[in-house]
Amino acid sequence: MEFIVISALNGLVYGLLLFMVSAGLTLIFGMMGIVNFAHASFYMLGAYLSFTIARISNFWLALLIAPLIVMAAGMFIERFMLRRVHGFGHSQQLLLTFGIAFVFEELVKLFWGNFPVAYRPPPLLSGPAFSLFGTNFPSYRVFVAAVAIVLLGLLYLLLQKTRIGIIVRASVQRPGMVSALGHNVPLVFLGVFGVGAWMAGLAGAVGGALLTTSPTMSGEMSVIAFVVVVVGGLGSLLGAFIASLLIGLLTSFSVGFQVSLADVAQLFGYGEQARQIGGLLTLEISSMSASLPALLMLVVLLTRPAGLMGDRN
Amino acid sequence: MTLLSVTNLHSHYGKSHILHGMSFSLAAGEMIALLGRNGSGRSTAMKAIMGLVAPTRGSIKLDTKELAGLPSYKINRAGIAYVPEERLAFSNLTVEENLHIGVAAPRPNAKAWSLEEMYGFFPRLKERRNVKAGSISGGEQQMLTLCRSLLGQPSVILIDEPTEGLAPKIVDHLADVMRDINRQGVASILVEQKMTIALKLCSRCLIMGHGAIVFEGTPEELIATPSVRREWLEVA
Repeated sequence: MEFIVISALNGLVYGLLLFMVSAGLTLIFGMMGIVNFAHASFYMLGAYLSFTIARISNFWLALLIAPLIVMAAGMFIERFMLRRVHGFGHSQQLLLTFGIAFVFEELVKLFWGNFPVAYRPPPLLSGPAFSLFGTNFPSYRVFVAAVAIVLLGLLYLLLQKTRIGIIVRASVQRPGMVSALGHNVPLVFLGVFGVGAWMAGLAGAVGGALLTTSPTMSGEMSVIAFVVVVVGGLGSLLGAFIASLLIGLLTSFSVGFQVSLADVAQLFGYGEQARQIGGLLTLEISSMSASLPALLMLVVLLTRPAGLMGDRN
Repeated sequence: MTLLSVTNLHSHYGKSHILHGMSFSLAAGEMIALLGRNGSGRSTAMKAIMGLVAPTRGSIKLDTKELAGLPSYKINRAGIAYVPEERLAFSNLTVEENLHIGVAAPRPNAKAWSLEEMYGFFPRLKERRNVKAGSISGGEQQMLTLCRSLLGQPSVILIDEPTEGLAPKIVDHLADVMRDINRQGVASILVEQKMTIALKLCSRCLIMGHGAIVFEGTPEELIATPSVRREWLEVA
């Protein structure tokens, strides 16, 4: 019971963090058709910037400023780089964002070094929030979840209840027609890209202190975020939300699950034989936790090629 | 007084040359029909005026403002609205959200259109205002896209084949509304296949052939010249 509740809570926190990154990714893909390989770099940039700002001032100011700097960087990339290759097709955008991701990674190594930096939650949030079954649940995890939930609410209100949101949703579907109705669609795109980068930056600013802040964090996040977007259905926010939580839970449960195929064989009385064969049969689920999201993607692509909430099912 | 003048307009769709030096003008408050067979370039002409297909040569002037080469949203803000043949309703938004996207601030010295007036034209839209535009009928979508464009407070409205594939009753209703809109001061260009509607509503008929204007005259003149109709309109 303890394992289930604590794993569920951890999975939800991780899933919500994943959603903050993948929401921007899926929104940008849905609107502009851009597969942005540099999106997770915004996440990394957010973490490193807030680490540095928190050192020279404090954590709360860092949380405010770092995502804004990331947003500015994102808008610069859209306006002066991506927009120039727009119209040449997907492969040019792909190569460009791939290159940008490399540049960011090297820049981070140049300024902050090759190894993880000690980005920690502020003292106020370092203690336990509550304890369950004798296990303390860290208050910083609660804080991360709260930030993500507030953000999710704001994003929903912005997209569903405001005129800007209506224009954004219409631009996803028919950018040409939206322009013919008097709206500056490139400006809308710039705004969406900026908001997506800001969200990834904020996710990095809070997530960096939860996980680790290192030059490899963007690569790791990039893979998972793409899995989320593909599983959820390219361009679907609701899909990204469901897939984020699914992958968060899957990862957190599998880490604590020390069961292998040999244990299953044991039930039928063949445990010994299975252990002698070894290999895949003795591989525990916990040691596969990193590859389970990819497995999930494989299953989803085979059964629902457009993703859980994709349009083309 | 000339409001919109198109001079020697050329346009390409990929590698094919569609508009070959099209010229015409539209007076303030006038309603003209643009007729012609399929493939004569009528829809491309509308798209080129709207900036959705880039004009390769020529001029499009609204009053004194040159519009050729501007992005669509600037052309719309200058006062030209476009109702596409394909309708292009935003199917994942509700009817009312679709209308909201079109809303622009009223122009000085021009009649301002309101949402209530749109619902007055088409009570069906009011009934279905919270329904997703993807699930309403083709006729309702046509009403919706006409109103959506009109809410942008245009001085010129380009309406591309609004009656295509619709029931006669809806066609009559749409025709009445288009006449009403024009009488309230919005200059209109109506692209039509059905000559009857064009003759009923418009004071001037333009016929397109091979990407240029090949005939221009009043409905009476068009009726009086069967040779033109035979050469450029009728499908043998």
